[in-house]
Amino acid sequence: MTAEVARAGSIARTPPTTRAVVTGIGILAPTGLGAEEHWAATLRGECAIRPLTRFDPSRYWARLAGEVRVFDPSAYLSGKLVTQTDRMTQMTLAATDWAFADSGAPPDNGDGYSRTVVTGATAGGYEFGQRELEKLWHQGPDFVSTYQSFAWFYAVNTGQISIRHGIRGSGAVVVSEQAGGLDAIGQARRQLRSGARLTVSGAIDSSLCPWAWVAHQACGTLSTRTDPATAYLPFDREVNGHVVGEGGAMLILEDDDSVRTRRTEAYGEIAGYAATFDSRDPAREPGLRRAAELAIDDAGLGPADIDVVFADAAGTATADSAEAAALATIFGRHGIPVTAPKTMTGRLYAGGGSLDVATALLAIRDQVIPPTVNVRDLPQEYGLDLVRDEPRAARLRAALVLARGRGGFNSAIVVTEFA
Amino acid sequence: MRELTLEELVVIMRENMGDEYTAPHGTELLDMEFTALGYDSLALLEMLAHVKRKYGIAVSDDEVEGIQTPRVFLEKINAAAGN
Repeated sequence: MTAEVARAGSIARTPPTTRAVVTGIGILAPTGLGAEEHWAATLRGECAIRPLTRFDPSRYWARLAGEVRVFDPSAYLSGKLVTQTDRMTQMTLAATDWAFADSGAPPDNGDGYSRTVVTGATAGGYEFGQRELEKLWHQGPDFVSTYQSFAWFYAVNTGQISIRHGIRGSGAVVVSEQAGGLDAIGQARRQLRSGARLTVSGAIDSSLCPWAWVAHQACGTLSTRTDPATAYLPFDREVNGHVVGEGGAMLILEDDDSVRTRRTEAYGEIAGYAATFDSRDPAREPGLRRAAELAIDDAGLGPADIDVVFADAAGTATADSAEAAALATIFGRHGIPVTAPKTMTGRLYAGGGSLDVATALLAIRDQVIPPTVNVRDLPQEYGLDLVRDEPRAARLRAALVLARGRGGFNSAIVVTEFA
Repeated sequence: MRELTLEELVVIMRENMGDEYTAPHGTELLDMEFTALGYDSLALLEMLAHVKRKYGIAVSDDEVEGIQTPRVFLEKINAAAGN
């Protein structure tokens, strides 16, 4: 009996030695449309935080955002899809198309069951929902679009990607606030280890509408400043909260066998992943350090093997000092280069973690650490080697990416070269 | 009340499908299946809601399953309108 079960298990599961290799990247962010545009702007240190234009913010005290200003959904999607979807879905579908094209993976060959999707999301289709609520109140229930039934939903991007690319394997969404962009990729790695041959993963969020803005302001961690150069200053003594942005990144991940068989170029590997949750007891150390250590260990590495950290960079004194302390404990004071390119985009919620993973892979490809911008007054007591203003050339084999979500989520991913 | 015409239905269908609308315009459209034309059950619900808003004719959502072609769509609408 035991043997039967064991045999059944061994048939159903690919050994956990399966490696999750990133073969395609699609970026849609305030810094650019497409991975190369984003990467070039990031290396130039161009801050894309600007006055909010999507709606009139004069009645709100938070007036800056990292907007994607040039995205026209109808250039990428049919009129039917544009009608049926929120902006965050439109951006997700465009970025996923780019990631697929970049990966060179053959389109759906009828074996859709071996392909899966797992996305992260924090708000769902908020702007679509607001529009339909406006119709409900101003015109009546008969005017509410039937597409509201799915357009608002957290899992809608996963569903739309599946439909568009003929993917019939498992579909999932991870909702863990701003840690979700890493958790989705961690889950994608599990799916590959469970036998999937290709997984679409990542996150793109957008909630730049008045209804969402009320919620953003209420969270208590938004910057009150109106100068883009001083609004979001993580780790700075003049820290003042964060700026909200939109966008993120979508990745194509394949198991290492598929990659070798296809003889395709790969950006790197999702080598380690871990997530922890903070204790309710504020006297206990937050879970970020343990998440980072577990992810490094999960990658089969030690702290000395990590070459750069992409920080969560929350932008509050408490959270920044906790992150600096965690990094000093793991790597030693000034023991590792740390960067926060999200100072150029604002925080993209679930999209932020995925964008950092994509940016870390580009950093490994080009052997250069992208800079943190705007931060001037770095407290000595943090012990941070923060890469500021200019990119820094370095031998990069492995990068640690950190993300924290409101409510106690901590997640960490280690990306490495794939050889 | 006067009958909803095929031409009026085509206008509604086109609004629902945007630039993807490629169905024929003549009477051959009457017996083509909505699913073959790219309209799923939600799209049909949306079109029924459209008819209700524009013409004040209400067909129960429960009837959607029975509406497979534009001909049946028009029959249901016009029956509900008392024609």
